Amino acid sequence: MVPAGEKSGPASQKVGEADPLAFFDEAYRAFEEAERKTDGATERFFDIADYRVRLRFSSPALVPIITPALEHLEADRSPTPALTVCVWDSASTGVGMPAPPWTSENYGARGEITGYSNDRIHTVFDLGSGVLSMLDLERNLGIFWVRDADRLPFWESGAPLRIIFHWWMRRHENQLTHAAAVGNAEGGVLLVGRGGSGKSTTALACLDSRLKFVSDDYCLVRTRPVPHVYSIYSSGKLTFGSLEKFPGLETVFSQVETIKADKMLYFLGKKYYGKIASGFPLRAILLPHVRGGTDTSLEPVSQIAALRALAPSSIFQLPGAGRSEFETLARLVKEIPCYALALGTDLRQIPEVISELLDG
Amino acid sequence: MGSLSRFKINEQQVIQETIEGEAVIVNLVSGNYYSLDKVGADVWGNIENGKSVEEILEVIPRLYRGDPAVMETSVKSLIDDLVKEDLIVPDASADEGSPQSPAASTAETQAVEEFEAPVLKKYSDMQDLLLLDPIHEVDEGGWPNVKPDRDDEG
Repeated sequence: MVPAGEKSGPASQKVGEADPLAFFDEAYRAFEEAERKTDGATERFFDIADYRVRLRFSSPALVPIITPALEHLEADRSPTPALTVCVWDSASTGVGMPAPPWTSENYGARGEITGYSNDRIHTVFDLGSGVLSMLDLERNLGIFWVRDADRLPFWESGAPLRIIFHWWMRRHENQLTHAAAVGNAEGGVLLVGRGGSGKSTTALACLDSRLKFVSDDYCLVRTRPVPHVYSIYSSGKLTFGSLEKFPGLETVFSQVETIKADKMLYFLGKKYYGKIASGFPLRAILLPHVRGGTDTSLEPVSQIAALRALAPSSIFQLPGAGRSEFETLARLVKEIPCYALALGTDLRQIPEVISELLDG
Repeated sequence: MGSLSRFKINEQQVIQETIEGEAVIVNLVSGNYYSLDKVGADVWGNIENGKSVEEILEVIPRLYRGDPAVMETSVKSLIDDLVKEDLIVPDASADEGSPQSPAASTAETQAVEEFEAPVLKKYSDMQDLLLLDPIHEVDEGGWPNVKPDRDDEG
């Protein structure tokens, strides 16, 4: 290992000297080399928020990690995708990523590389996962790189490419948001709150009802012309204790991974894709919380309480997110009613209470 | 509190919204976020509107009933907290006079609510999502070592 700051390359990188486009192009050439050198390069297409997205994999190594959470949105090949993301790792291709032209001092609190993001190029290295994410907004071209696909933390597979999607989708007025959503074609609700509040319990309780699932953990929200939510991932996180509330629920999942001793990552299986809506207009924001007793009920809650439950967890998980995202979410809580959803132990009541709200 | 008596929101690192008399404030650098209501939200709104501390201390007794000395101590204490949390900073344009703002119209307002000492509620549960320590090691290729698994938000 080399101490930070003693690597080869520039001794220091001042913002004025940074050339984010040049590094992006260097990284892209490395991806193309990896694609040429490897058998099994492949492409997959997905429809996300009405946009056709192409994923170019330089090798098969990352396909089973990146695609499960997106498979419910899989689409036909298109010669003109709106966004292309080049996905690769060095271990399976034998092609290394060029050394970063920046130093340790350039890393921001959310992995942003100072000087390597501008109106056109965004660059982030996530210290938690070891993923380099880059996006060229002018060419609608993204790069997702990790040293070794086998060492990618598998919670990354629950919300793959989310940083690139966040940047690109916000350009198109869709805000990646930490929230669950359920509803029907006429409209639905956003479920917001931190881990353990009951978002996943609520979303999963609706699988066995006429309500459809849009998300458990992340979704895309737009406020114009009217509030609307789009599905992006079929995955979610759940405590094993919560799983016990749903006998037989394991059969709904295509894949389950243990995150920690008490928490798992799940993916809805193919036979439940019909239960997933690609999106719907948003009619209300609900703040679930677990309450003693049998019954589930709704009570109005202040807009600021909804914003507090919604905005910080969305913004702090997304590099580069700030004022603009906060304003979008503030606009959302002002435009639709907000309720506290007190969850009782009779889980059948949860979709009934939400349906009554939507039908009312 | 220091000698400067006018502050402004630290817009370099703070985003905030006030709705229906309650404020939520996010410090993008520290990872903390905050809420203020009632007196606290009024103080925050007056700071946002460019009022000096002295002007705020004139406005609050017109909005709330209570002991003026307690009000002054409580409001100054809140302002100290806002400074400590880097949510407000001294206003370098302090000598240029106070801009006119909606708060000026409170001069004729009848105090109807009992004063309660404002509290800056602080939430620190998002800090795990930020890299607050410097990077110590990189690999041979110059890329940082991945830090141990974190407690991901769920």
